[in-house]
Amino acid sequence: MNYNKNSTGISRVEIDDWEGLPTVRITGAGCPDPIDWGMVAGTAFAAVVGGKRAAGFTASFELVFAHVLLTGRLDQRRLVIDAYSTFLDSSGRASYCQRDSFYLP
Amino acid sequence: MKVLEYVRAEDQLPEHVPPPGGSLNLEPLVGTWFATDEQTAGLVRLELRPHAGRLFVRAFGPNELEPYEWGEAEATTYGADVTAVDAVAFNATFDFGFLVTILAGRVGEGILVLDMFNAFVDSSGRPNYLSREFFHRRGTAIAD
Repeated sequence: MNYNKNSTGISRVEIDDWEGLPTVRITGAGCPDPIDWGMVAGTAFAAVVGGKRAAGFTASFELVFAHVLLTGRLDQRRLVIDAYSTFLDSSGRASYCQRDSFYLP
Repeated sequence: MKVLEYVRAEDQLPEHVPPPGGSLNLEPLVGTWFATDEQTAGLVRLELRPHAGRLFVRAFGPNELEPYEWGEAEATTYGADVTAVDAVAFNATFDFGFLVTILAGRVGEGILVLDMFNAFVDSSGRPNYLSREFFHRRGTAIAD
């Protein structure tokens, strides 16, 4: 869950283990309801060379109007996620990067 | 106000704010960046150069005599929000055949923080790993 309950970015991240691959489901902050991005398979990374314990991940969401690359990294018990969004539509919105921090409830 | 497609509130333009359109200003990223840790085992130098409104990244790893050049990759650049005009972050992918490395960098207060996600794609069984490096910029920007 996002530490910031009023975040306008990602409100919830669900990460699961699917036969050794991380699956990532994202819920975005929406009004009036949260927005389910769906689930994708990601890639897990250890914190050190030769490490066996996952400490980060990447995952890409290919949406109709945008591409979003997520990079996540554990910092102690906090999961810090950077979301890199590139718009594919003609809205003129700038590509942007947003950081959110999450905790396990 | 036209409702744009979005997956989080942050994707929406603020009311009465026009979209910036066009390319981001690359100036905040462009230049030669040096690792703050001179003994780093990761990257010792990054060269970020603009060309025709796009950003290209050249990376250098540590080596005994001369830094080991990774080559150059085109980067995708990002602002701080949907109304941004200045680039503050980038990512770029280097594919070495046996290893794919994603560089994800973000600039703030004169420091470039770079996360490196290294995924082995060979059959060596080596686990993927990540690392973080800090860089500072020296000298003048690299011209287009």
